[in-house]
Amino acid sequence: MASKGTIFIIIASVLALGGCASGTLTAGVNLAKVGQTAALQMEQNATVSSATMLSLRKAVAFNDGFNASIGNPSSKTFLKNADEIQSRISQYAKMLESLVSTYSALGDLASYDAVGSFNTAFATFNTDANKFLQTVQPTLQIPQEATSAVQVGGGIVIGLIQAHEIKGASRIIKAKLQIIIPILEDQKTRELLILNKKEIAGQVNQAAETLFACGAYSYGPLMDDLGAALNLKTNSQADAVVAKNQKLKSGLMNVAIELGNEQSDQMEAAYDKSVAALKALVPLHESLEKGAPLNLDTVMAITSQLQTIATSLQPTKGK
Amino acid sequence: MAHTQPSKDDVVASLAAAADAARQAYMAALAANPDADLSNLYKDEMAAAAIWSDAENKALTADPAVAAAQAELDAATKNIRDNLATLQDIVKWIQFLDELVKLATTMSKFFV
Repeated sequence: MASKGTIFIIIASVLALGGCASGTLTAGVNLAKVGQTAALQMEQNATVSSATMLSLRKAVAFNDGFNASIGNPSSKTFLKNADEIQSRISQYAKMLESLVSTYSALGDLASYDAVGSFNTAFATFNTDANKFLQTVQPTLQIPQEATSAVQVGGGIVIGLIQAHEIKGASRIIKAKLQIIIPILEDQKTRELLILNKKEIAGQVNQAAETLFACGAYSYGPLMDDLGAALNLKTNSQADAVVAKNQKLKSGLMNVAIELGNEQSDQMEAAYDKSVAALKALVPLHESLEKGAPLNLDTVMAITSQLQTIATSLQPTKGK
Repeated sequence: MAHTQPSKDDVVASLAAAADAARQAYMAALAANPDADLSNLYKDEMAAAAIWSDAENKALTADPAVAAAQAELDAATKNIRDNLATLQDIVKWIQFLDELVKLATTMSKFFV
């Protein structure tokens, strides 16, 4: 029979381990939250909506009509290819969507031991990630270690088992991130994922810039934007003044084109920040696994930058 | 001059740069001559966009002539970019873009 001293040591050890377990669970919840937010923001920057593809068709139709080129075979080829490329690279956004679900399931695992939900979410993420990797690098050999699911615990001390599961879940997410990140950093993948988006935006902007060059839009928003630093606003005669002055029209047209170029730069920045966010998640997984405190600052800062870029890419600028 | 064999990605990047330069040329011409007929320039622009998008969808066959063709295409693209700010003559623009499309077409033949 165990002595009082032995019982005390056992209780003290269980309490201490329980404290560690509780720390791991809290870290798991925090990592899940920050990972989910980052992946969601990445997904929003990566998605090219069906509305955008429709805008592209409308823009090319306008550009064809404006240039007496209705039925232009090159335009048809371009639209067909843009659709096909987009369909192939949409796997990138799908993979990020699955990553959002995986982090959400990690949060559930840390909160109420939802092992089954986590394993299902991770299996989907794993499949989507593999499909994406095969799309951008067909010859890549994908390591199998990253695919093993978290084992269901036996429940002697629930908190300890749950903490063990969280660390296991963290390890398999991290392993997959470490496979994905170098592929996303590869210049070829970057070009593939950004170029089509830029080309689509370029055609859509061209239609707007053509209408602008022909005087179909009010020049007010651009001029107000230019005058904002000095608190200047256009008056009711502004459009008429510009319409009669070719130099003013040329200047404003150049500003409109520059806004299009800025959009293009932002698309590149959004991609680079997304890769940076994934990279910033890796040390957080490592801290959780070691039982060290999580420093969430870097990934939160990058997520916030991604959100700013997403906002700047919203079609609200006056052209 | 000897050229290093470019990768498929280098060639796709050159074609993308050519398509982008062609669009910028069209927009520069439109800004300078808003009432002019730019339909030939537009056809060249869309031809460059179609060639690039086609190449992106296909694989490249290893052919030593690719490097030389890529160098010519990059030079034509640079020439267009260098003239963006100053050139206003549409006939000259059409010559530049015709040449660009011709070179891009040559490059696109390296894709199966």
